[in-house]
Amino acid sequence: MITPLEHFLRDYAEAVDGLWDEIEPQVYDVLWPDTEQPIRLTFDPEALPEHPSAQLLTFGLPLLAELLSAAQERGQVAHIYHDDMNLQPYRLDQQVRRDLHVPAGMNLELAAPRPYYVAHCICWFEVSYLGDEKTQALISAAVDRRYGRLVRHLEPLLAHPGLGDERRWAFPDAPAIPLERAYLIARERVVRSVVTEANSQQRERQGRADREIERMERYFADMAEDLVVRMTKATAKGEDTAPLAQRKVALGREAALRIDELRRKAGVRAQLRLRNLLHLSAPRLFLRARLIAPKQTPSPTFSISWDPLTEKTDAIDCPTCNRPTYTLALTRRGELRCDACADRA
Amino acid sequence: MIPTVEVGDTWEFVARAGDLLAGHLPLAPALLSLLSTDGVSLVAETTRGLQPLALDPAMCALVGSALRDLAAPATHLRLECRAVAPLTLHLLRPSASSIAIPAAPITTDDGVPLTFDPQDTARLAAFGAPIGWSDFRLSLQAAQFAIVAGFDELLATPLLRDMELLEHQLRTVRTVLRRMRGRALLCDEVGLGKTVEAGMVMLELATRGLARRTLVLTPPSLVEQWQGELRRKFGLDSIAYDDPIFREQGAASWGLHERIIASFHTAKREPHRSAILAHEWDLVIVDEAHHLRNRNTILWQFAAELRKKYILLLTATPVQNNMEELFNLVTLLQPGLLRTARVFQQQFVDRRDKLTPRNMDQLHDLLAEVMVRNRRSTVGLTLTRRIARTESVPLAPDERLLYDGVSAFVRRHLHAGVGRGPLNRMTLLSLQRALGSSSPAAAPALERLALDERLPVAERETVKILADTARSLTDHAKLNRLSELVRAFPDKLVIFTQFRETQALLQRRLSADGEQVVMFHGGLTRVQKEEAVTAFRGPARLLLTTDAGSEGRNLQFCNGIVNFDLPWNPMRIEQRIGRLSRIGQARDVYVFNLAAANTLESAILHLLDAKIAMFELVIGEVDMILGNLDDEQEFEDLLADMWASAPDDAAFYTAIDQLGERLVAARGAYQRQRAHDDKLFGERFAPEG
Repeated sequence: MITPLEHFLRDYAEAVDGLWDEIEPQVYDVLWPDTEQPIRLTFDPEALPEHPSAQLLTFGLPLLAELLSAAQERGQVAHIYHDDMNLQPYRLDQQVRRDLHVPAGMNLELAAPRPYYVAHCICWFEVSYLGDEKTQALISAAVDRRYGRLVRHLEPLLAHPGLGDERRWAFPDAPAIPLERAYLIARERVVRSVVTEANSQQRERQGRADREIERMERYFADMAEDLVVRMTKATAKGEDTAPLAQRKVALGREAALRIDELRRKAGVRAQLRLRNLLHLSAPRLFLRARLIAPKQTPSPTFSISWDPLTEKTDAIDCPTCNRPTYTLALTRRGELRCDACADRA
Repeated sequence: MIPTVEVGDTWEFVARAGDLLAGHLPLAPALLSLLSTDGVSLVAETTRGLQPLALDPAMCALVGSALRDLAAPATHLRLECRAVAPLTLHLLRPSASSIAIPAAPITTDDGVPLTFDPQDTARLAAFGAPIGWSDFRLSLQAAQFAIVAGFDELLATPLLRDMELLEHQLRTVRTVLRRMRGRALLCDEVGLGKTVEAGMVMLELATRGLARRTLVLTPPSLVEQWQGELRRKFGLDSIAYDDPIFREQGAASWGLHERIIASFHTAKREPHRSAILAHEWDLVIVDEAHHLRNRNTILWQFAAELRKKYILLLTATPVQNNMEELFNLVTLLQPGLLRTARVFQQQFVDRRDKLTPRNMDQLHDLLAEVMVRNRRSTVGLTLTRRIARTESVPLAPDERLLYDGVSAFVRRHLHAGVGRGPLNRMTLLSLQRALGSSSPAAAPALERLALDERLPVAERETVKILADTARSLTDHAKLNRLSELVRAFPDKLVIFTQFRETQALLQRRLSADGEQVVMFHGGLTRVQKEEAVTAFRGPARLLLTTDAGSEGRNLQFCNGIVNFDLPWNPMRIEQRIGRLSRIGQARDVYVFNLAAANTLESAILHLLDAKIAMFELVIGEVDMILGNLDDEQEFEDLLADMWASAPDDAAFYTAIDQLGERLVAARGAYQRQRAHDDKLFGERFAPEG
């Protein structure tokens, strides 16, 4: 069975136009580009005696850290297209009319669909929680840049074999919010998770530190008390108490040092940075629509989109409150709004 | 679906500066088709105004010198449709976003500062041209490997080899790392895998880069076992303190190697002690930590002075004579947790009986911060039975003569106590051990002695006769018995011997008997060892193995073991049985012990089997019982000395009987110890989920 690390080595060697050869299980000869001699790498320390020139490739050793760093430095941004989907859904107009609620007595008039590529971005943030130990997490958030919304259905798609570096179709690109805004939306989402975890860690560490400090203070107080008793006895016997007094002073210093160390270790800091960014473009069907009713002026034309990835109509942003809605309403002036805003207008 | 073009349609590109400077902008084939319309007008909006562009179908690109004007380190371009009849497209650089990304840190409700990397803005603006999808996946995978995750998820479990952690072991490792922050007393009952738990903690910390320099302190007899287990199960390389390379480097070696396994008796003594204390250690593991129960010992003081970040103490018996022993162990992990010795006695120990605790709930609350104790009854594991049969095989007449002749020779010279030279203690005892295995095993040593000119001629002649006899014997009583046993046992068998010569003898005979035999020994390469185990799992019925090289191998698919010869160290015997009789074995394990009658080996077997029923004990219990013997000497040295110093066999058997009584008493003490531990600790210290 090939381990994930072995897969990584193979993929990396191929990516840099190197060559690898598995000469026996978990032992590889790797020829990096621009080198003349292969190096031998192994994932199994039991192989080292039989392959004395081999280097061990495992976590905790610099060699793997270097490879991982090199792999990351190859780049952190990519743009992929997901084209493998049905762009001619059965009875699209019926599906759209089913998904959206229109005012009573009105109908939704739909023009022919037109596909556009919609941009998404998936941001992976590296979160570090720092205290006396460091833990990290890689948290991702995906944003639909057409509507500026967080989406959850994209990451599972990344395993899809139909993803490609090039667009299959000549569809134009749908307008998108600026990348910086998308980044902020993603970041805000991640920050919510980070804050929760950071607070939890802080409470736990502070609680533990408080207990440890209390114990430490008591411990040193006990030892100081023992010394006092010994000094009293020594005095009574006429013995020299200077060494004990010195010990007591030293004890006080040690106590201060230890407690200070515990206090310093109690705090947590968090750091967030963007690690990888993936642009994913996927076709979506856009339809011009308007609400019509007999003896009424039709509403202004507006745009509806149907997402083949989710096989659902996208919610429409209310022009007033900007909240997504599936319930369309008209103000008295015939402007399209969500239900709540139409009532208030 | 044939796309149409409307005014206002746009296509976004991120172009490589190199391409633009070369005057071309690659296009996807689909776009090329769309733009290859008669009469299409393509222009670039540059600082010099509108500049013409063209389509180059062969290059599948837009071309034109105007593209150079649009080049920048990371160029985001847009193609806009301005008219459809004729189709008119403008290529331009869209205006930069004016959105500022706030980078000021925030503070959470609980006062945690959260900072953002100011480089994120630069990264968004100038990430450079995108990389390919496969490179991106590699980069992301590397990022995932590189992070140091929290201990909720153990990173190292995929790195385990030929084993899976049991549920209680996983919980223990998480508890030790998460809640106890790597400073813990592991007190599992014997047989539940404390070594595996400690090894896993070590592997996890190493994987996260949190523990590079590691020191494992153990009794001398366990050094090799630890090294084998770490390598075999956890893929962790280490060096033993008695390795020739280590010895050669002297005291400096303590600072040169990252993972060292050492006998604590050696480590506590100079010059090693100072050398070890001079270094900082990320992780210290002390096996059989009950040797640290007394804080007035050099060993305890040495352990207390070690500069370490993480420390694990492993013992199934943290308390034996006095509750203060528990205090002494805990103080090594968290000084002050149980306050001072005086206060501990006042608060937690009954004045009338120093083994009886007071304020047990409060004591348990404190101990729960550093102690984990799994019990067989609570982890839901049942170990199958061991069914032992010991065969005392009468030697054939020639064999008997050889045995008595060599034994007399060895004993005589041990009595004489030469010390050095060809008849030193180690050579003589090795010869005696080999003799107990088979005559071919003893023959090489006898032949070497027969040629050694440092011996008197008369001695050499005596030894030569013995050597010739050893070589010429053809009737081997134990071998005949083994052959019968193998025929009678219906399933696979692992047959152990200490000696390669004996192994070769067994192979010839059993192969001649028509059996399919696989050989396993330390001289095989790694791949050969894997192939041997695979063959044994497959068509081969018999695995003939020496002790070296088989430690850590999973042989639990087999439930029969034959000890063709017996090590004098019961721990080695138990380690053999432990290859099969361990957690995960589904069937009762049959243990066949073969010893020649009226030999040293048969006396040892009688001692271990009849007196303490060793072969029915749970793995690890033998060690507990021997530990209660309270003898500084290793057990096998004790036996060797008894045999060597006895003037004759009768005296030896008397001494063996006396040792047997001591073992019985030790077993009783062990059982009382267990009962006391159960009362003291109950089921409180199981690790959380």
